[in-house]
Amino acid sequence: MNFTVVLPPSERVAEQAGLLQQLLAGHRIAVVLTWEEQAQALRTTDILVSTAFVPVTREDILSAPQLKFIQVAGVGVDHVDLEAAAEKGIIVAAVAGANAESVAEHVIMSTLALLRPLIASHGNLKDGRWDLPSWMAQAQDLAGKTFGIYGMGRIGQELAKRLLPFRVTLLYHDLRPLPPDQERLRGLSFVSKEMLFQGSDIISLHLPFTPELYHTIGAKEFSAMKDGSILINTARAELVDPNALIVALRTKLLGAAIDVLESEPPPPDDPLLQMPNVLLTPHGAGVTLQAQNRIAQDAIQNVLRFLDNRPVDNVYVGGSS
Amino acid sequence: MNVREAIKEWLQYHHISVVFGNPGSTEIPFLVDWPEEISYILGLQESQVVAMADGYAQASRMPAVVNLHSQPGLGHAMGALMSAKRNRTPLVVTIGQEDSRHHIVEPLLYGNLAPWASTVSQWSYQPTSAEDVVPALERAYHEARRPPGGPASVILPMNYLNGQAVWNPRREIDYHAMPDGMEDLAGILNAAKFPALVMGDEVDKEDAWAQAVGLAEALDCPVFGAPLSMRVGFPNRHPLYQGILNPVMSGIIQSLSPYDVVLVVGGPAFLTYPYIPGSREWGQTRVYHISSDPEYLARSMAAQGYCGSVRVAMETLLTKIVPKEPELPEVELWEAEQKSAAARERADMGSDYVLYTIGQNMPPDTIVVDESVSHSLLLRKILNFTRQGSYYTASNGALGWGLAAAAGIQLAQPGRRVMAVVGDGASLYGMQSLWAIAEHRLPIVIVILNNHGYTILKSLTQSLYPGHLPATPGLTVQHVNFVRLAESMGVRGSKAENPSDLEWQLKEAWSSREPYLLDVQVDAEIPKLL
Ligand SMILES: Cc1ncc(C[n+]2csc(CCOP(=O)(O)OP(=O)(O)O)c2C)c(N)n1
Ligand SMILES: [Mg+2]
Repeated sequence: MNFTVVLPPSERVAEQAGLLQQLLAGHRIAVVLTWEEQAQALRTTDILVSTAFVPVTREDILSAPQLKFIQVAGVGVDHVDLEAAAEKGIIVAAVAGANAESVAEHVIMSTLALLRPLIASHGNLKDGRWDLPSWMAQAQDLAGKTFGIYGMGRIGQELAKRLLPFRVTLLYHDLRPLPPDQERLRGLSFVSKEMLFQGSDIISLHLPFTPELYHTIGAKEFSAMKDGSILINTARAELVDPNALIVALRTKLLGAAIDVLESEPPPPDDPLLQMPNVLLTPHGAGVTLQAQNRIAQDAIQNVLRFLDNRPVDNVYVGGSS
Repeated sequence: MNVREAIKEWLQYHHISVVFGNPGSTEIPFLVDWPEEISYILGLQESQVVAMADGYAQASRMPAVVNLHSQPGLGHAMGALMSAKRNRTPLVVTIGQEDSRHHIVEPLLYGNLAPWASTVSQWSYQPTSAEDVVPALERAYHEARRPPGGPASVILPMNYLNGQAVWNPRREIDYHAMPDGMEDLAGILNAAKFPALVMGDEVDKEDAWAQAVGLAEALDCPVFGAPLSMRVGFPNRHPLYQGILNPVMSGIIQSLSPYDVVLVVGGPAFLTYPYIPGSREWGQTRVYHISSDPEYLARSMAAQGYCGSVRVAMETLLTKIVPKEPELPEVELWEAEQKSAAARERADMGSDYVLYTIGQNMPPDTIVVDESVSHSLLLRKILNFTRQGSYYTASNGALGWGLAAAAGIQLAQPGRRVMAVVGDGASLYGMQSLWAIAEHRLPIVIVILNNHGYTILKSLTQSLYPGHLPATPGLTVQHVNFVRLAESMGVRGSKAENPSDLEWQLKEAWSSREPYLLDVQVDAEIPKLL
């Protein structure tokens, strides 16, 4: 079979390509890094191992007559035109949960880094300012706070598990509450969306994006939030109205940690870049070295299942299995 | 009519259908020819007899009658009588005495009982003749109810019970006085910028929760629970409720200092323990105190006291207060906080987990008798108290009260479920009551929070003399098999060593409709006290 494997631009491309050659011995493998390279390779490709950095458009799919299977090496399939794939009978699968622990850790890191003025004081110290008084006036414990988790899927659950020992109160909201036994074991209380925003000191978003959820966190939600509270978004940029976020950061929030932006990378005039109380990361919450390995392993396993005519996991399109 | 018969008639005249006692030879004249209509509830030790009667009297809101055996019985009962006095519980205590005709030679069971009894009674008396006995009981009945309420003791030389009885005219007395000065007090509350209320035991004793909630909502002000209160005076899930005041004076002053006017409704103002050095000055806060107990008022920390029924007082105030529109928060986060804490401590059988699980399993209407000592504060926070008359504890910290009181309360309130939550140490001062509980098939759920000793005293030692606990004797109690103790007296029991044990055993206990004892191996960690 002919494979096209899209690798994320990283220092480890050569190493990863070598590994793939070994795992898929006997097949032809084209390793590509850009959309143009992918378009070129797709013409003769049977199986595409795709990543979110390079879109797979309708045109791409239509110009790939042999394509049977798209395995996304990641947790989301938003970059693939699923409709076109379905029309062409192509199976699309992704990887589930492989980054949940990494995102959960990222949220905790962000929370702690915002509760203590970590970034500012690090900068001050490097600039020669020993600003202990301002640290002492700001640094807060996580213990005793109320933490709201919006979306109780895998990531939400991993996050809840890790937060409990911090001596916090855990609230959550989701379309479907967990079974009562699960809630009790995890110390989670289901509340309305309104109560989640009113009652939490920290809110972290972990809901999947659907068009109805566009800017679902807007002025109304921010106005319900407590003074001095924190918003963390590692889910999808489109969930949060950026203008309302800026206003809230100026007027009431202690801070926000944002891992996802509507345009990545952000334009230099994005006002978020100017906010002193925002912690920004390059959409990396779920891609630690360990998560990358888990994702790669899960993707390869699925490809091997496909080659073996076994049912594949996490299918989004096609695949009667 | 002889005095033996007259006593039984007198009991029935007052609708007294239960008498608690433990007999000796001096009580045989009292017991012979016992009428079927009156239950004689035997307790196997006098402290238990009195505590049962205490619980019964409180839960039935009527004086209860106790029969004790001369000086040995009174001796054992003294501690429990002291508790009843401190609890303000009306009890008519009869104490047998040797035949008066040989007192002069001090026979075996003779004791000069009146002076002892007087120290633990509102009133005590030894009749001087047979004719004097029924009138003395009648007076004791009214003396026991006289505010603030307490034991009234009558010593009965056994020969008097064979003499001719005399009836005296019976009286009905309404002691519930309307306190003066409510007009002024309403004015003070109306003018207050930041008022606050402290609800004490009398609110519950007078069934006045509705008035307390009404007053709090009309004032739209925070409400605190009185420290170390023997009852819960306010629904602990009401949005205005702030929790129980810390029982040290500096803590009380600190908690109440944001308010210009504080009204303490019922109970002492304030009961404290332990002593913490510090000022007793109030600053800007003016404290007012209503109680039907003149003694509470006399020793009160309040600037002004009003003597009378707290229920009537609050009803009157409600007609004079200009009501505010309370903005009550919709949802309480208490429950969520407790749920998280419980899940966190589950693996260790920590207190938060154990009490949360107990609370989740108890039927909503349960009456809780609390002798959980180091767990008491948490218990009052975690369990839901949403109906009046749902919480009882001894007002003076005396142990050995809880199991017996639970039995008395269950006898008085057969329609509600009763749960006794007791420390392992506490339970062993009153274990004999399991026998009475089993004999009368009282479906009480008994939860022993077993941390193998006197944890609260270990906490106190740690904070008073840090580092010296290892060389302090007398604080550990091990090797007691509570399940076998219970079974030996006819009560089913089981030991809960881990969360799944606890969860199924609680379900089993509540569904059994029989007395059931759980020996819960709670985390023996020594909490920080001060
Ligand atoms: C009749 C009586 N004797 C002694 C005491 C002193 N005392 C107060 S607390 C306590 C220990 C209680 O131990 P336990 O019931 O096991 O509760 P824990 O503190 O361990 O939770 C003792 C002995 C008392 N309050 N009453
Ligand atoms: Mg103990």
